[in-house]
Amino acid sequence: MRFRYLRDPVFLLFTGLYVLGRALRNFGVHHPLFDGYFNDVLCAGVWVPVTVAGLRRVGIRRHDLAPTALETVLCLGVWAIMYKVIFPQTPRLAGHTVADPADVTAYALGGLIAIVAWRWLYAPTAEDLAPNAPRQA
Amino acid sequence: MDFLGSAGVNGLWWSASGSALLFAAVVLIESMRQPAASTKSPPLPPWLDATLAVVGIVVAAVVVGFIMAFHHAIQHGH
Repeated sequence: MRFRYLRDPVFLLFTGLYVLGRALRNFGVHHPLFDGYFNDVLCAGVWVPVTVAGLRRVGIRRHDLAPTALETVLCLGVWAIMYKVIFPQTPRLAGHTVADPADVTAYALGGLIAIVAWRWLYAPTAEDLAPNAPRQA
Repeated sequence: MDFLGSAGVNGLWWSASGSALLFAAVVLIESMRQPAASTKSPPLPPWLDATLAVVGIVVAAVVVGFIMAFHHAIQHGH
């Protein structure tokens, strides 16, 4: 089954939860669920599909399978270094990013949830496994 | 490890521009090798293919990371 990129259910669900959290916060509603590490857990499900969609668009990604563990881990690793090591030491962004190792755990948890969901959603069907099934490319 | 901090905002812009340029370079390499594949020329060695894929993902992640940062900065009125 082809990955649906920006129409992927995980991307849509995580983006919807992010928008809901922001809207509630804008209306002054604070709930423990939407504070703290909530956005960090959503990060992989929202931004990994955007990244692989960009890679597919420019031709670096040559398949339409769900994001692989390597793609997800590399993206989260880069973002963890940017947001938890480099940006907290950058004057302009220091007030907005915090070098909190627990955020990286939240990234990893969100990444794990997204990977498991993609494995489940895009598991090959019997039709895909047939010897004369068309290749996804 | 103050290579961005000491340069401040200019450092951020240079890093973002550098990542975008590196990403463009990877895209260019990929686009150059696509015609070669269609004319049945020898494929790239597997290690180079894998390296290009990893570099592409890492640079794309850096570019997206900067997009996230600018989105965050705009939201907070900077």
